[in-house]
Amino acid sequence: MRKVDRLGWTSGLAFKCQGVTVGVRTNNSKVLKRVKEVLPLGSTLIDSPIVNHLFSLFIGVDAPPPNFRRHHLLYNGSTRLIRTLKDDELFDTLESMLRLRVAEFAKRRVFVHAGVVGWKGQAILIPGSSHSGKTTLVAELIKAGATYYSDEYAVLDKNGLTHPYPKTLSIRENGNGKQTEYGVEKFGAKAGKKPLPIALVVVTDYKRNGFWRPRVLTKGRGTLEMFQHTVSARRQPKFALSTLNQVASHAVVLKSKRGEAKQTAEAILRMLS
Amino acid sequence: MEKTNQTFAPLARKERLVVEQMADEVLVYDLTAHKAHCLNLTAAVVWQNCNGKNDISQIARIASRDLQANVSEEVVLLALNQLEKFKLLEKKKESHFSIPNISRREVMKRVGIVSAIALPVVASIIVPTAMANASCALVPCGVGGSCNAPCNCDVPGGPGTCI
Repeated sequence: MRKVDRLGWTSGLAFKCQGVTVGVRTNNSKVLKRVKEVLPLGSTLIDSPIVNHLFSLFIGVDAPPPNFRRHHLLYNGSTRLIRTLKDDELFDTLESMLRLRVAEFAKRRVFVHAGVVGWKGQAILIPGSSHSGKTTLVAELIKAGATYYSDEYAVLDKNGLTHPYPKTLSIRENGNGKQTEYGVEKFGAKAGKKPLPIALVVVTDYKRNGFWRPRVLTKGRGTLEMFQHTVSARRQPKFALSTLNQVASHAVVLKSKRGEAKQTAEAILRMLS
Repeated sequence: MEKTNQTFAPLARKERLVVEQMADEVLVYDLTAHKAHCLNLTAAVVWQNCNGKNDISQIARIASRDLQANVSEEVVLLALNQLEKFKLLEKKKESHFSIPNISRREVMKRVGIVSAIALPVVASIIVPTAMANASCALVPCGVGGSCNAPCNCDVPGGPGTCI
C-alpha cells in the first residue's frame, strides 16, 4: 500500500451507498467530474476522511517523454485492477468495481446477480451468471409490457422485497462480446420505482434450439440457486440466506434451459397472468 | 456391521457452519469450504439427531417418529454417507469406525421403490467469490492474466477487459 500511497495523490472524493463508504483519490482533479458520473445508483457524497474502501486512480501524463506510454492505473487498496491507455476502459472498470464493492458490502440489502422485471404488482427475478442471457430475456419481458427493475442486480431487503436498480441495459451485440448501453425508453418501457414482492424466480440459460420446459424447484433448491449468484454470499452468508429464504417462501422457483427469449418471455408472463 | 452400528454414534458438525431452517429443508453454509448444502427433510432429520449419543438404530427410530414413516437403518446410513462426504459430521479421532458405503440403488431395493419417505438427498454448490459473481465487464484481465469462465479477455494475453 505504501508504494501506491507514494504515487502523488492531489484530490479525491468520498461517497456513501447502501451503508458502505468508499473513497476515490486521484492525481488529476480534472477527472473528478467524470468519477462523479460513474458512482453507483443512490450514492451520496460525504466529507468523511475515513472510508471502508479506497480506490486510487492514476491518470497518465498528457505529454509523456519519448518512448514513454501514458498508462492510466486503477487500484483498489493495494491491488492493481487495470493498467490501460484508454480512458473509457479505465472509467468503465472503475464504475463496475464501485458497483461490485457496494453490492458485496451493502449492510441492509442483498445483491443477487440477476435481471428483474415487475409484472402486475409482482416481480420476476432471473438470476444467472454472465453470458446466460439475462439481459436478453429482461429486454423481451419489458418489450412485452413488464416494468424494468434491473438487468444486473436484484436488490433485496430483509423482507424479501426487491428494490429498483434501474441502470441502463447492457446488451452484447455484433458477436464481439462488447456491451452497448441502452436506456429503458428504447424498449418503450418504464422503470419501476416501488419495491415489489417476488412471485417468480426463473433459473434459466440460453441454449441454441433449447426448449422452455420448466420444473418447479423445492424452496431449498431454489434458495441454493439464488445463493450461488449472491454477491455477498461469502461475506454475509447468514443475512443472505435468511433474505433468500424470505424470497423462496413466497415465490415459485422454476428451472429450465430456454431457446429464443421472445417465446420464453411470453410463456413466463402467461404463467403469471 | 450390525454390531458396529450399535456402538457408532455420529456427531453433527456445528462449528463454522451457518444453518438456515426452511419449511421442509435445511440449508447449511460451510464457512471453511465455502460450500452451501441443501438437506432434504430426511437428511435434515438424520443430521439434527446426530448428537454423539444416538446410534444408528436410535436415529432410525427417532426419524421414523418425526417423519411419521418407517425409516430404516439403511436410509440412515445413506444419509450419513452423504453427510460425511460433505463434511457435515465430526470426525472422532479415537474412532476407527467408518460409515459403510451404501448406494441409493441398494437402499431402493431394500426399502422398495414406493416408500413413504423421500430418500435422503444433500445437494451442494461451491459458493463463488463476489468477483466471480460480477458481470464479465466488471473484471479487468491481464493483471491476473485470466477471466472467470465464460468470460474471455478482449486482448489475448491482456491487459484488457473481460468480455
